[in-house]
Amino acid sequence: MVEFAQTLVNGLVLGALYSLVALGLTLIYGVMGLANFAQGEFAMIGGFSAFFLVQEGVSYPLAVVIGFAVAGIIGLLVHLLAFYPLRQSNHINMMLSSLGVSLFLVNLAQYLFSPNPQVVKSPLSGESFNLGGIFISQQRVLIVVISFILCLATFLLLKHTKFGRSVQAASLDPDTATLYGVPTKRISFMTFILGVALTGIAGALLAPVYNVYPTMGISLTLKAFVVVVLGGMGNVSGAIAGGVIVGLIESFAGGYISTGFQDAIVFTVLFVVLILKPQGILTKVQGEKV
Amino acid sequence: MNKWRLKTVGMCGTAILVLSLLNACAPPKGADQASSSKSSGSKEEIKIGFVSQLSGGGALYGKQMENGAKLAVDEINKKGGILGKKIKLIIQDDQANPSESVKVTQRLVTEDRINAWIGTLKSSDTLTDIGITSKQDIPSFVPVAVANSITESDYTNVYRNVANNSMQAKMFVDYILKKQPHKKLAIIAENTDYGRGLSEDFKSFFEKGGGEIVNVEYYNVGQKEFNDQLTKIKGEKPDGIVISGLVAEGALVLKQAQDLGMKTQWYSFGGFSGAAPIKLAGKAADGMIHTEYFTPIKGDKKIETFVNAYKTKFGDKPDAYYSAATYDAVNLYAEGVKKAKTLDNKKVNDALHSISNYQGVMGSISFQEDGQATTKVWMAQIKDGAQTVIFRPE
Amino acid sequence: MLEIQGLRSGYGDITVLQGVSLNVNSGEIVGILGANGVGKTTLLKTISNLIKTRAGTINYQGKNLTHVPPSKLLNLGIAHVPQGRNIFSKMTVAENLHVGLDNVKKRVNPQEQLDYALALFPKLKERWNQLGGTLSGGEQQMLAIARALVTKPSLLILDEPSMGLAPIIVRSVFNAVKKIAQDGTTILLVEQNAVAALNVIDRLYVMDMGRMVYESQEMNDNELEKIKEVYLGAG
Repeated sequence: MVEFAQTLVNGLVLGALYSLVALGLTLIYGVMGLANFAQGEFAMIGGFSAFFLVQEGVSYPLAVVIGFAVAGIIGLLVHLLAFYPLRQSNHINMMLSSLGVSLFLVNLAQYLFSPNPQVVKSPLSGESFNLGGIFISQQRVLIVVISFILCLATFLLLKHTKFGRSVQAASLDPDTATLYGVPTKRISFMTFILGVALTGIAGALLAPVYNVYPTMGISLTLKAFVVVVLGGMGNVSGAIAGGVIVGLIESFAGGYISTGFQDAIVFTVLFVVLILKPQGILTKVQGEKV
Repeated sequence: MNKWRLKTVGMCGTAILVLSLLNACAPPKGADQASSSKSSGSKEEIKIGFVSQLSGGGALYGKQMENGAKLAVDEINKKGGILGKKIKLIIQDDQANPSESVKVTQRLVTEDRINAWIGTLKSSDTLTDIGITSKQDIPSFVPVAVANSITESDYTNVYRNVANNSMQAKMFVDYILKKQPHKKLAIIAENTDYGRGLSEDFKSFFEKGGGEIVNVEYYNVGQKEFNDQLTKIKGEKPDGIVISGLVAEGALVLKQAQDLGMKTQWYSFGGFSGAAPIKLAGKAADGMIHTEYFTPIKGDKKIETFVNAYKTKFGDKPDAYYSAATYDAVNLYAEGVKKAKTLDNKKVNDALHSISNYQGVMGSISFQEDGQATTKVWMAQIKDGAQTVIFRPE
Repeated sequence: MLEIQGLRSGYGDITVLQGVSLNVNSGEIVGILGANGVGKTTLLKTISNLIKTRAGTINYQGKNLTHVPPSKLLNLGIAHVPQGRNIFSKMTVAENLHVGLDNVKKRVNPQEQLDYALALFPKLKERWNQLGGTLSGGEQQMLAIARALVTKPSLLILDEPSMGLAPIIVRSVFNAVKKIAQDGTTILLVEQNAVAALNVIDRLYVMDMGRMVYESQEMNDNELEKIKEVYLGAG
């Protein structure tokens, strides 16, 4: 029973993290049509900026906030250099460009910080809550809380503000959105920056739990893609729910089937979904477009 | 027209960008990465080809190997070389990439006409490389890669001066069963030939010796989350847990286990030893017992001399076996040439096989028929954030 | 109000508009009829600058529109309802209307505009929180027009509002169009469904092969007969 509860908690924590990264990925896909293979690298950027700042004596909470900003600023540069010039070309080129960005950022980090893992100290490091035999580290609780707040804030932002409506409209039908005054270019810039900054903060949050190293983003990108495909490409609530689902599948597959096949099981679920319901399990087919 | 052109330009641009990035991340290191010996132009040189990963993820360890080899070559040349000839070390980066490794080894053999070969960081690369050097019977030294198969392939020119996986596992099991109270262990292993090989050897030896392995959990290289594996292991309540993997993941296993409130005896192999666990896992690493091929301890003259010379030359302390083992490998080759009194490959190989009880920095070495040295492993424990040797073989 | 002279544009190597000229006077409903693929939608998209003008001029209230980006047209009082309705299917009726309102808030009173649009299309009020994609075809067309109306346009451009709708619905949509014009909005209407359009328009052009092939006078029975002849001949 305790083991079941612990597995459930493990899965939910993991899910919260996946949701946050997938949220950024799905926003960017929705508005720009870009399958951004460099998404995880922004977690790496967030992680390393937290590492660097904490080392320089900045307090951890402030380092997390700055990590959010640093990822956003680098996102702006990346958008200007790697994606904006390709906006007229097809999506495959943009995707290839994002692969290039991913390689570049990984190698830049290796050059700046060496390939070795680095430890980031958080005031919560090494502290755990014990709830009747179920352990959860305080840093993980922080990840869940902040991830929940950010997902909710992003959801409300999209649902109830002019910016949010513009993002939704631009992702559903960019031409029509333009006709109704939506500045789609500016919206695509802002969405990209928001999307990677969310992932950047995820990186700064998980740094004390997972350590930081240049290649840490790659597996995150893959997981985020699984989540986004499950939730429906470009579907925001799908990404949030999908993150939790993938976290739980992974955790229970590891706990009750085999840890050696954990990832294989997650990807099998993905293939089955792609075959049976390619638009994602969380996307309802709504009305027909004539 | 316009649109089509834009598309083409975009595609070319992207291709160039990607290619240039790929290139930037793996700068080819040429053979000009000179040897430290200054004996230029002499035909009477002994050429040792050195292949390891010097860029990318494992470069840190490859660099330590390179330093060990350079130190040994320098010392030998300062004393006048062997048989009156200076040694020239030709260094090649294989980027831990099998095809690159084969390519540079091929070049060393056919263009540089090396007299001896030393490499690499990875067992799989080493296996393909020694396939090439063996065709010309070039004495080949494997100081770091520890897969059993390297010395089980019937090559007569391959020498490994470090214990292989199954020797290491056997000695570790013997030590635990004799000196430690833990009879019920769990294993958490990297899902690679290295991690699986070690954990299977350990399991079979441990069970034969009367112990019990309650479960074996696997993880992938690069994995960051170990709560699922650890939750399962925790449920089995073992006396101790063996980590069969490398530093990056091992450190996270220790930290996350601590967060899950697990208090247990940790064991690990040479892949997760040295100073890195202390640096990366902090307090969570305290108490862990691990096998070790080499520790820079005080009180042993041979080791102290090596450590001091290394520190003087490169600035930092050699804290793991990579540099020491490669240092020993160069010296073992020199010993073989001295005994054979010629550079003829066959005679040098015969001489190397007859080496017995050579005293290297890693202990006494004798090569068996298959080229595997009969070396022993040490046991070390992390106590209060420092590495201490708790068992040293005679 | 809108004057177009010798307009040329197209896609890639293909020039679709071969020099189109037309003018719309304030208060009129002007129709452009023509068969499928003669360049009607291209013309509207060129007016909105979704497609670049290659030659010719577009003047709106004395202002040259050729370099005004599409997102700035609303502020000049031009609203374009694209073909196929193109409502935002995963946003609610309310959200769809707010996308229209978001960018004209300085110019109009939002509540007044919403009330006006909902009075014209009361069905939308019942569907207020429903996703656009779940509406029927007719309701979607009403939503598309309402989304343009809330921006209080002086010129409303409609691209085939009858497309894919049942005759009875077409009639009610066109009644609404007539009402909008009576309330003072000028309308430029593109249609294939000549019969339905002829009932509401004041004046019309017939388009073929990227050119205007006929321009009518004020509508009367005589003119109507002539048009039917020409139009059927052209189509």
